[in-house]
Amino acid sequence: MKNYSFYKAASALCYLIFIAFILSSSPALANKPLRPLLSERQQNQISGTITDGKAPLPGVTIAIKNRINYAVLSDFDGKYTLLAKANDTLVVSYIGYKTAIIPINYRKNIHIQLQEDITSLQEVRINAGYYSVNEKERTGSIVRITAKDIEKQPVNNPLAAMQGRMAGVNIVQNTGLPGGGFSIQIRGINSIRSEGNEPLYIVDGVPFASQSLADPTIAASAITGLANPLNNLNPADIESIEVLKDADATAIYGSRGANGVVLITTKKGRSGETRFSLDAFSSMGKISRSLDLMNTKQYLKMRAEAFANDGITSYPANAYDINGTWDPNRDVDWTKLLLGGTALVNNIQLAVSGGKDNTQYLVSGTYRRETTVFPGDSHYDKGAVHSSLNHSSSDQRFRIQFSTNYTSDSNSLPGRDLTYRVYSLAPNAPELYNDQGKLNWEGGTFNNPLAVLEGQYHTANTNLLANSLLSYQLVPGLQLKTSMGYNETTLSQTITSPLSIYNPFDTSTHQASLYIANGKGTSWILEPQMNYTKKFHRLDLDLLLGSTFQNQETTRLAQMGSGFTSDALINNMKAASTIAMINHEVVEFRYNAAFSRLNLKWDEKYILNLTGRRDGSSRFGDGNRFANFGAIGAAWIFSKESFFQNRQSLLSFGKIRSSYGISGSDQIGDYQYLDTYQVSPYLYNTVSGLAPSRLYNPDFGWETNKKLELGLELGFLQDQFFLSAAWFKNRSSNQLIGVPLPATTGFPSIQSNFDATVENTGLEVELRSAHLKKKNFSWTTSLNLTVPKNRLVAFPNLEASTYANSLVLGKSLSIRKVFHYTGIDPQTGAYTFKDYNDDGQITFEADRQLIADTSPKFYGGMGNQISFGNWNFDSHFQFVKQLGRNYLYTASLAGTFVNQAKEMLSHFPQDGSTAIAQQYSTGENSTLVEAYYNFRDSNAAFSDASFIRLKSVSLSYKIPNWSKKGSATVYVQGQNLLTFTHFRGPDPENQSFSSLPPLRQFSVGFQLGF
Amino acid sequence: MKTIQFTLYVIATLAMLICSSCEDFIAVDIPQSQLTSPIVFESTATADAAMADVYAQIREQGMVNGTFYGLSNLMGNYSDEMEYYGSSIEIKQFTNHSIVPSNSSILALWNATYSQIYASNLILEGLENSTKIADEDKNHLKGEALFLRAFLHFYLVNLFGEVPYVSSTDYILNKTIPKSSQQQLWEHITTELQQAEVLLSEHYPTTERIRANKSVANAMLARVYLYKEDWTNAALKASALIENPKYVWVTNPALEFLKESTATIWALHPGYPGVNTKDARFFVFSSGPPSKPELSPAFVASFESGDLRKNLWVRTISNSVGTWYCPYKYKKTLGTTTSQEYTILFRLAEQYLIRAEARAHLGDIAGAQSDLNKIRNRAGLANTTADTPESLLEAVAMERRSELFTEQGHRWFDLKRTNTAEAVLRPIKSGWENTQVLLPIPQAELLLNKQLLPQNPGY
Repeated sequence: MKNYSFYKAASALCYLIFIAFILSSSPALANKPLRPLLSERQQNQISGTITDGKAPLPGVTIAIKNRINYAVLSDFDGKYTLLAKANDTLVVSYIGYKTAIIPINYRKNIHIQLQEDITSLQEVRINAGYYSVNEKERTGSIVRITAKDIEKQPVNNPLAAMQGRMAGVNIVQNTGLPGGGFSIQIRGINSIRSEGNEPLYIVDGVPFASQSLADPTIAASAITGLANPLNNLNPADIESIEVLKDADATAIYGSRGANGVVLITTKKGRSGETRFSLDAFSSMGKISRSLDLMNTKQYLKMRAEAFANDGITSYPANAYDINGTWDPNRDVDWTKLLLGGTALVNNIQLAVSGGKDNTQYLVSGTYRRETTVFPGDSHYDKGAVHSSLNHSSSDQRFRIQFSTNYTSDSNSLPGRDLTYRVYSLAPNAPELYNDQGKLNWEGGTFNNPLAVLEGQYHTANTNLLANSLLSYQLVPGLQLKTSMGYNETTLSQTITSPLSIYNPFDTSTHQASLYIANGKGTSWILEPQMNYTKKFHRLDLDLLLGSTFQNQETTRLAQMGSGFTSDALINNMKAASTIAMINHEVVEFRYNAAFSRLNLKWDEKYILNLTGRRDGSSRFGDGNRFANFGAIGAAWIFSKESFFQNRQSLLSFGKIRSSYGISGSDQIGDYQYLDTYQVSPYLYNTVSGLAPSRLYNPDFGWETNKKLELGLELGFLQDQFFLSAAWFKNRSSNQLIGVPLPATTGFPSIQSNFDATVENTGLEVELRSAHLKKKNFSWTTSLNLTVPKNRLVAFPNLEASTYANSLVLGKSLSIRKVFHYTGIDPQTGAYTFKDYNDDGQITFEADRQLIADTSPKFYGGMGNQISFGNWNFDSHFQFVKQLGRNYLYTASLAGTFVNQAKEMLSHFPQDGSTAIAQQYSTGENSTLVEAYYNFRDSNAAFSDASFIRLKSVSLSYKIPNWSKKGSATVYVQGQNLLTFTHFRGPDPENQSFSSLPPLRQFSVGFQLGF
Repeated sequence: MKTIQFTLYVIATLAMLICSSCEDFIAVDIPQSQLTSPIVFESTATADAAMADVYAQIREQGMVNGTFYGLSNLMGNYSDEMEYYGSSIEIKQFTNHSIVPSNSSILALWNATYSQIYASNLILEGLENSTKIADEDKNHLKGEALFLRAFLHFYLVNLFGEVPYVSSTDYILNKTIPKSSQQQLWEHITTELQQAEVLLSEHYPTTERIRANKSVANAMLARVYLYKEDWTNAALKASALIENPKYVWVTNPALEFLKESTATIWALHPGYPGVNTKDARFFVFSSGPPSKPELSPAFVASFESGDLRKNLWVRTISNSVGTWYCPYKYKKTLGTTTSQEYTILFRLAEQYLIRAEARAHLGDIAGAQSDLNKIRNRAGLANTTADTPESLLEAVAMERRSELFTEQGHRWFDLKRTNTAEAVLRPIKSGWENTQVLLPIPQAELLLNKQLLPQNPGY
């Protein structure tokens, strides 16, 4: 079997699908009933309305007892129709309501009123990827949010909607610009390599590449370098997001599950009458926090003092701010001028859905436009089309699910974030525009921050994701399935730098340039599976076998033209006098696996879940390509034991679960095991040279992550009060890292497995309480809290290694060794630091002994949902306790031609040796310069960055009696409305001085259904 | 019956599919933009491409590159050639002699140079194992790699003093490689240049003088002997070049830095056709006050009156605020239809100056005078009046300053090797300490390789 070719497999598979089709459509086979009917009587059409006593309930599942795979959903008016026999029994279920079991009893019209029930949340099916589990019977650790939570937030990226809502999942928004990036950590950092900690994203069964296609040669300097590919998904099309955390849930994803798995499921159609829905909102965003800066008077005083301190009496010619070139009385609030705008978001979505018993469909289209807080007309546009089709043969044995998601976005943001300029421009810098309305260069003395807007920066993305799932029930209990997925992503970037972005008073060295980059990623995946379920007396058995074939190809092409004769021709590469090919690469990645799951359930009390996967990846050299992963999970629903059931107990539900297993990580990049030369980006004598690609190491293999988990779930008072707690301990070893090397080896690092172990332990608590549950009023509070701990457990010979400088045994990976700041020297006016080895000097190696740990101490969120009649109120707080880098970390030397935070007014000697700033200097005093550098690397640059943020608020009102058939809801929403923090800097979340902080948004919208 | 057969068949097919883990499937081809290392050394063309890239890397980064982060600018600022009032603290540290070991320009120099040395070593090892390249080509390529290795180590020893001499690609060895003594380093450099000179042929491997041949190794040897104060050999090697008919003295200084200059021994090709030098792009400015480094007014004033070089090789910018000067040896800041200027690393004038200095030390007054006058006359200056070894050495130093300014740090290396840095820089650089004849070894490198401790004195 080892050399069994894929192509043979592919043809076999096609054959299989073909057979499935034949089977489903052949009357002889497909219409043969699964079991003999009790009587030969015709099926009758049964119809009715489902309500909660007040209003109709749409989307309720109506199934027939003992008939597998047959169910319909109630339509928008709560109406349903189905075919059943007169002596069948209906099973009516809906999230949040008690399941009703109603015998048909020869009736044709059956109106059903459901009773609200909190217990039934336990009945929800949770998507675990290759299979789904009943919430109450789950053995693994899975958290989820649903469309309900996402809809309440006017966000562009699904990750934003998850912030603060999931225990064990820490998400940070990196920039307030539309289309910007997020970083996500599921149960802490596992890999020493900072880029090796991405979770696996699966959208409708198709792996979604988490790396941006942006050309790496320029991505770093432009905003969209931070782009997150999940921007390519439309949050409004998402039905649910599940995050798999422990070994039980992730081991079936084998080598890619080490950092957790994010499963995204898009919306599906529901049967019922054709229904249209329209959702539109507009939102306004402003920056919520910024750095408090010096005004002109304070700034110029600092400058004058700096020159005086350095013994400079006549101001140099280029000290324009103070030598009289610029107006000393001008005082500009650059924050207001450059970041003070309002970012507008307009979002509209139209959806049509409907269907009959065997076929359901959904088509939706979304358009979104966002602007920025910067001056100018930069904007971000996104369009998305989502469609979903479900069909089943009339005997329910053959089923097909097909869905496509297409998004296209276009981003014409400024090439640079203006935030950094805002925090550094002198407050008396001149006007942005001159009298003619042109950019003002003030005679060449002013590097106008708006010059970057003269250049065009344009990124366009498209993403197509298509998935189909075919299944055929061969015999009762045995189902064959094939999931097929295709994903195509393209990205094109155009950057123009016309001559007008350069200071016209120094034209001699500038050339207009055009940069064009294109990236394309295609990937297909094929996963044939077999599922067998059987009940033997009190034992339920569920067996899944499957395999995966995946191929991913990425192409990047980038070129740059310069020397355009005129700015007018800048968009045409042919007009460039020099054209340079910057990058052209084609990367192929192949992946193959076999997986299985065996779930055993005894008496619905004792559950055992075994999962395993054998993975092969093209990222490793011969002999290291395959590895095995697996996990065991178990749960005991002790509340089902007779001694609990017999008593009138407070406890309505109780479960203990545990899991242990191994998953892995292959995030090391492609081709790293090859000994090659590659085409160099540079030419010599007009031809491309060949450059060594890397230091050669063919022997590295998978990184392994061992996860242990213990969980307890308790429900009290009919689950009105529900507590779940989990403790985990994950150990990541055989670390796959680029071991840093000194430059004398020719390369900065070598790819290798390293025998270091990183441990993540933590406690996660989730609490839900439905305080009030009245007919017209309900109030629910939910709370989640994660207390994580990250620790480097083992690192052989750390002291002698290249990591001696950045890691400490027993501490977290997010540490930095820093100098210990001890105040200002009254003699020199310079910052002083603790001299640990008493050698009389402060050296980098010996005296950075203090540790600043920026990993979060705890984080979580608290949400409240209140509904009162037609009113719904929802609020969510996010909180994080952490240490962070404050403004001192990136501040320039106080006294130079750069503005400073207002805090820096407290300085030596005026404010003594406990002042914040040392003696001001223009950079001529080397003692002060050196002390300044050390200060940035000292504990003074780290301070509390904890925050509590009112992440989202939503208030909606459902207009009663809007129309006979339709409904209307109006709503207002707020995002990041309030932040409570002591952080010394603009924003405690992104802690950046060069990126825009997350915006405070306020939106108004409505939903119409008809 | 039929159904059962079908069922069984389907199950069998599926089971086969699921259970197969295919080695074939996950084997990927070598990416089209890469070649395996042994294949590179199976043909002269690909081995040549690997060699060419080392030159391209040398042009783009490290010691002799023409940007602000090459020696022309950094050591121009460090010595008395240039001044800087811009905003880069990294460059300012050179101007003000306040360099800290974490200075990123120093790290960049170090990293780029050792990466280029690695590439040279990889070529030497590849050639060693190659059987398909003709001996003639093999020898020339070997010669080039050896030459570049010595050339790069030359700059390292001059800037940092004791450094590791890296002659293999074994990273396990190289990650803890200790420093060699300065004496050992100079010996390695000399021997390898001598070997290179033997291996290299008279012909350049390209039509233009953009890669090393025998004469380039010869010119480098002359410079190395001068630095080692081996006056006899320095004069001998310089003579060999001066007498070589391939290299013809350019009498008009305005033509000295054009790409066709017949006095050029080795220049760097700019890569794309139509591109000119980085030096022009980075140094030349046309308005003031400049944000770029500028030539120090004191340096410009040091030209003798009537020196053509002051007008031809220095650009003066004046306005109501003041007057500023920039280097103007290379003038083409933008692309042209065909390239007009290449960055020149070795030229005949330096060889005359080397011989003049060597002859002055050897007591050959007339010889030294004649070499010096060759340079002076071209610059429109009268014959030198110096007629003793001491006065001649002083005149040579002066002449080197005027002739070789902003060319890969000549001025600084001259001050250092003639022990005059203290006398020249003390009065004009407030931050000067005499330990500053060596730059600090980059902080990052010391942290990665403890064998490089201790840091150079004074840092």
